[in-house]
Amino acid sequence: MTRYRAHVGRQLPKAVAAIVTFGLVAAACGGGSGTATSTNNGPATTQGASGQVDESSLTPVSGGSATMALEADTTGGWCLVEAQLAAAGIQVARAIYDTLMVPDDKGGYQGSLATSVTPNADFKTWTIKLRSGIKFHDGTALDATVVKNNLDAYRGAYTKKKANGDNLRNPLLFIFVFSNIKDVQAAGTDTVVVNMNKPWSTFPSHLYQYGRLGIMAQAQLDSPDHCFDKMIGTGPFMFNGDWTPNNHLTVVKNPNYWRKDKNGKQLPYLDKLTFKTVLETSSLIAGMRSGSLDLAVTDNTLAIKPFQDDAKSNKLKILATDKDTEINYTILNEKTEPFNNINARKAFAYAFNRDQYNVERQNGLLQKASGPFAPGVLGYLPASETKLPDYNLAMAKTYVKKYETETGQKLKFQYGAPNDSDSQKSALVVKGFMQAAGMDVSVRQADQSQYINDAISGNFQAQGWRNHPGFDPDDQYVWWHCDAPAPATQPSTFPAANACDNLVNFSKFNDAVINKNLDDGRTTTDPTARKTAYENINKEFAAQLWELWGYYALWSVPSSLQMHGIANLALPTATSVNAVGEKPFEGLSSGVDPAGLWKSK
Amino acid sequence: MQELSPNPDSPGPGTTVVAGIASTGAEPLGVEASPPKRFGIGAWLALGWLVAIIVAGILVPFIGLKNTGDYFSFAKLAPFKNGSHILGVDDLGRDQLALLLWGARSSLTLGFGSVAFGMLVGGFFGLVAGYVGRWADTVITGVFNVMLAVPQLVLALALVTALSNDQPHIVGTSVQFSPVTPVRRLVVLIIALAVVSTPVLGRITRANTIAWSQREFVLAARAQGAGAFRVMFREVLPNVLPAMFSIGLLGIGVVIVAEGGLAVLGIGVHDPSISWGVLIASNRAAISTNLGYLLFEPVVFIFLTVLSLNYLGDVVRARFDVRESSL
Amino acid sequence: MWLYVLRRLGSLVVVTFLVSLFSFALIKFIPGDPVISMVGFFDVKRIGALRHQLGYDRNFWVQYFDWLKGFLHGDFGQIFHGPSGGSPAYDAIKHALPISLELMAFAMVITIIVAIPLGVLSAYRAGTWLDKVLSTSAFGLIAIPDFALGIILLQIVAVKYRWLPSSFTYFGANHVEHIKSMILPAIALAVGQISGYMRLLRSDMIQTLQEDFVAMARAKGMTDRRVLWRHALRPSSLTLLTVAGLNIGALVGGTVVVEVIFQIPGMGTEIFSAITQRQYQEIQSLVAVIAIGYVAVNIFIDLLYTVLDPRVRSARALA
Repeated sequence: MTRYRAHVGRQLPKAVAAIVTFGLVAAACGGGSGTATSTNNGPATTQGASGQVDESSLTPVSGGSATMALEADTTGGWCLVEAQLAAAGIQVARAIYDTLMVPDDKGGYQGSLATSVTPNADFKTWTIKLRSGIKFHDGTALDATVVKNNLDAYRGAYTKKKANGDNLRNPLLFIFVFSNIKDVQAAGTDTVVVNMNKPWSTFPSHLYQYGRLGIMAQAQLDSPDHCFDKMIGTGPFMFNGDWTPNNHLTVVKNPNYWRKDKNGKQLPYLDKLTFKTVLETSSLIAGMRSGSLDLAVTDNTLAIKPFQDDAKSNKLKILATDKDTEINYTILNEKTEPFNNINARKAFAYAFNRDQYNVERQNGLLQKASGPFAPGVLGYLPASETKLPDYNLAMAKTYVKKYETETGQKLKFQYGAPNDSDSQKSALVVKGFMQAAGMDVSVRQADQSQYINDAISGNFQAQGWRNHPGFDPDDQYVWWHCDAPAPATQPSTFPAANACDNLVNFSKFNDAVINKNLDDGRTTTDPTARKTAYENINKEFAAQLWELWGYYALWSVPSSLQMHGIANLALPTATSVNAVGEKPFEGLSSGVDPAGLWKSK
Repeated sequence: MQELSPNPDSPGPGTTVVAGIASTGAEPLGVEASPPKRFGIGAWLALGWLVAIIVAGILVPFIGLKNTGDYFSFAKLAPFKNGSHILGVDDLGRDQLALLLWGARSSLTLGFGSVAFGMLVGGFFGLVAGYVGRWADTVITGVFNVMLAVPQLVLALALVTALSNDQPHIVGTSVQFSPVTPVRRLVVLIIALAVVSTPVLGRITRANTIAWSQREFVLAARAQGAGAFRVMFREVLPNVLPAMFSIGLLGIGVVIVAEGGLAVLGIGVHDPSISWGVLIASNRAAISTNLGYLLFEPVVFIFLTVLSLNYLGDVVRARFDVRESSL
Repeated sequence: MWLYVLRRLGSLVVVTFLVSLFSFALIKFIPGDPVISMVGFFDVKRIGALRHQLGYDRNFWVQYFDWLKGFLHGDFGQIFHGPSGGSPAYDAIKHALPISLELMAFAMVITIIVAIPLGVLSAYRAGTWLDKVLSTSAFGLIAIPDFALGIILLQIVAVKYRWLPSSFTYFGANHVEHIKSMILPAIALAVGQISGYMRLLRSDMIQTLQEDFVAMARAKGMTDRRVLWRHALRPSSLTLLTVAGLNIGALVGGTVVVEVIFQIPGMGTEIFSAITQRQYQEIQSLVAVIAIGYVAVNIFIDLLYTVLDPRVRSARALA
C-alpha cells in the first residue's frame, strides 16, 4: 500500500484523483512478516502503545529539529486551491498554513484564523470574523480581502487573469465542493460574508476540508508560475525553498507565529522540521529503528506491526487510531457491466473474505468497515445495524448463478490494482476469493497515471481505493451527490441513462435516497435529524452496495522516545456555532499538528 | 546490468570486445582462456540446464502445476519441508516451483522472442548494409548508432510505458481509453526488448558480411551471375550465422535480466503471466523475514540461465572463431 | 591525425543531431495524445487551447527545430504541475545529473580498485588454479542481475543489519552519511562491470608480458612487481579506457533501476518518475541529455585513444 500511495503523491500534479487520499483495500502491505493469528472484531479503538507515558506532566522545551517520514511526496506542490492534497501533502500544508476552522474531538469545528463563523437563520449567509494581528510569512496582514480572494480562488471565481488571458487560478475539485456559494464579500478588514444558493448548515467544516483549505498570502495566490512552489502561509513553520521532489522538504520555525501554548510559550517548539519521503516499508522501519527518522505518519500495517512490537519493548512510541478515519474499499463502476447489476455486487461482497484478507495482508490489524463512516463520525452504525454483507461463500455462489441466469453471461471482470508488488499480491488474493465463488477475474495492473486516469474516465470495473476520511459527513457530499434524476426505485440493473452527472462520483451511481439525505444533512444543524440522514445513507449503501466497504484505515504516528507533543496540543480558543469540544480532533488521517511537536534533550 | 553494447564507434584495433566481455584471439602462452574451444563438461551442464528449463517452461501448463495458489491455506512452507512442494510455498499459498516454471515460460518467451526479432530485423539490415555497402551501409549503420546511443533500459522503459498503457482519445466531450490486450502487451515487451538487441546483432552481421563477401566462393557466385539476394542468403548468411548466434545467446540473457529490471520498476509482465523478474520484485522484502527463499530462488534461476547462455555463447564463439574485433 | 579528429568531431555533430531527432520523435509518435494527460480532469474544452499554447498543432519539423533551439539554449521543457503551471525540467536535470554522475564514478572506482589487481594477478599467474578461480568467478559475476543484487544488499546490509543507511543523504546535509549511503548502490552497479575489466586486462597483460621490452626489463634484473606495475600495466591503460567507454551504456541502464531501488534522487529516478507521470517534455530532454552525453563520452574516449596510442594514430591516418 505504501508504495502505491507514494506514487499517488508523485502524481498529484495531475488532477483530480489526487484529491482522494487513495489507497485501497487491495493495496495491502504484504510480505508476510509473520502470521497474525486472530482478528479482533471488537469496536474500533485508539491503540496507544504500552510504555507510552502520560505527557501532560512534561514541560515542552523549544529548539531542535526533527525529521518526519511521509509515505509520498507531493510533486504538484502546494498551490492549495489547485493542489488537492493527499494525506502526506496535507501534513506539510499543516506546517505552513492555517485554516479558518479546525476540527475538535466531538465532531465540531473551532475557530483558527477565524474567531467566529456565524450563520443567519436559514443558513444561507455565513459571517466569518477574522482573528486580528495575524501576519503571513512575508509580513503582509491577514485581512478580509485576502481571505475573500482565497475563497474565490477555491471556488473558481477569482477573476484575475494571466498575461495570456487565461484564468490565473484553475481549481478542480473545490469548484464542486463550493458550488453552493453564491458570492463572497469582504466587509471591513476583519469580516467576510459568504452567501449561499441553498441553505448550508455545515459550512464551517468546509473551511477545514481535511486540512486542505489553508489560506495563502496574496503574493502566492497571484504568482503566475510559482504558486505551487513558493509557499507563503500564516502557519507555524515557514518554507524557504528547500524542497527536492521525491526526497525531502524542510520548513523552519516561524518566530512570529500567532499561537502560544497554555503556559504562554511561543509556538512552534521546533526550530526546523524536515519531511522526508520514504516509499519502502523496509526503509521506513530501518529509518525509525536507526534513529535517522524522528517520527512518521503512516497507515501501512506492515510497518505498524513491527513498530508496535518495538513500542512494547520501549524502543519507540506509537500512537495508532482508526477513529475518524478513512475507509479502504473497492470502488465499483456502476455504469458498465458487470457491476451495474446488484447480483454481481452482492456476489463480490459475499465472496470477499475480509477476515482472512486482514490476517494475510494487513497483519490482522484492521477493523472491518460497516459502512462509509468510521467510528466517531456522525452516521456511523455497527455492522449489525447496517447489515453490510460479509463473507459467505455459499451466498456468493448463489449470486454468481443469479447474475448468470439474469444476464445470460459469465460474471467476468478485471480487478485493478497499482503496479507495486505488494498491491499486486493483495490483488491476487482478491482474485482467489472471487475465483472460489465462480467468477472469472483477472488482475489489471496500472501505473500511477493510468490508475487515476482510469478512475476519472470510468475505464475500470473494480479497483482498490481509499477515501472518505471521517470529519463531518457532509464532506462526502461532493463525492456522492448527483443532480441528474435518479431512478425512483433501483432496478436490479442500474440504468446507464441515470448515471451520475457528478464528475467525481467515479462509480456513477445515482441514488435517490442518498441524494435526498445528503441534502437534508446540510440544511439543518439539528444533531438528531442529521444523524438520521447519514444513518439512512449508510444503510442505503449497505443495501445497494454501490461501493464495497472493506476496512477502516489504521493511521499511526510512530516516534522516537525523544519526540513529544504528538496530537495533544490544545486548540486555539475561539467559538463557532459548531463547536462542541475543546480538545483536538483525535483522528490522524490528516496527520498531526506540527506546532505542538517538541523534542526532549 | 550486463549490456549488449559495443561502442557506436568501433574500438581500436587489437582490442576485442563483445558485450562487455573481453577475450583475445591469440593466446600466446597456450593458456586456455575462459571460453573453452572444446565442448566440455561445462558446456554440457549449461546446455542441460537450458534444455531442462525450456522443456519445463513448455510443459508446465500440461503437467498440473498451477500458477495460482490455494489462497485459503496461505501455507508459507519453507523449501524441502514437504515432498509435494520441493521449493516451498509462497506467502499466497502458491507452490514456488510451479511459479518458477511458469516464470520460465514468460522469461524465456521474452528472451527468445525478442532476440529472434532482433536477429530477423538486425540480421536483415546488417546483411544488406554489409553486402550492398555505400549509401545503404551509411544509412543503416547510422540508424544502428543512433539506437545504440540511447541507453537500452531507458529506451525499453519509455517504449513499454508509451505502448502498453491504454491509449486515451477524445470521444465527443469525454475522454475514453482503448484497452491494451494481454497479447499486445506481450508483443510490446518483446519489441521493446528486441530494440535493445537489434542494433548489436545488426552490427555484427554487417561486419561479418563484409568479411565473407570478399571470399572467393562468394565472388565466384557473383561472377556466375547469381542475384544479390541469392548470394546474400545462400552464400553469405550461412557463414555469418555462427557469429549471430553467439551474440544472440548472450542477448537472451541480457533480455531476461532487462525484463527483471522492468518488473522491479513495475512494468514487467502482467497477471496471469508471471516472470522471474516479477517473482523477484514481488518478494523483495521477503529477505528480511524468514521467507528469504522466495527471493533467492528466482535469483538463482536467472543466474544459472544467464550463466549458461553466456557460457554457450563463448563456446560457439570459440568454436567458429568469431572475430569480435570485426565489430 | 587532425583530419581524423575533425572527422570524429563531425560525426559527433551528426550523431548528436540524429539522436536528438530520435528522442524528440520517440515521444511525438507514441499513440495517444500527450496533451490529454496534461489537462487536469480530462477537461476536453481546454485540450485544444493547451495544444495550441504548447505549439503541438504545428508541423513536426517546425516543432522539432523549435525544440532543438530551446534545448541548445538550456530550455529543456516544462514539468507540468496540473493547472498550477510548470517548473523548468532544466532545474530538475541540473539537480539530478551530478548525483548520478557521482554514483557512476563511485561504481567505476570500485570496479577499478577490484578489477585491476585481480586482472593483473590473473595474468601473472595465468594457467594456475588461482587464475582459473578468478576467471571463473569473473564469468559468474556478470550473470548476477544488478537489480537483484541491489535488492539483496539493501534488504540485508541496510535493513536487516543496519550496517549502512537505507536511504539517501545529501552531501550538503552530512558528508559522511552521504558517502555511506552511496556505497551499496555503487557496489550493486560495480559487480556486473568488474568481470569485463578483469577479463580484458588479463588477456591484454598476457600478451604484453610476452613482449620484448618486458623480457628486457626482467633481464635487467627488475623485480616482477615493478615490471608488472610499471611496464606491463601501462600499455593496458588504453584497453581499460575502451572498456570504460563500452560500459557506460550498461552503467546508465543499471543506474535507473538501482537509483529507484535505493531512492536516490538522480537521473534514473527522474526519468522513471517522468515516464510514470507522463511528463513528455521532460522525457524528451532527459533522453536527449543522456544519449548525447553517452555519444560524446564515447567519441572523447576514441579520440583520447588515438592521441595516446601511436599505432592507432597511424593506422587511422591511413584509413
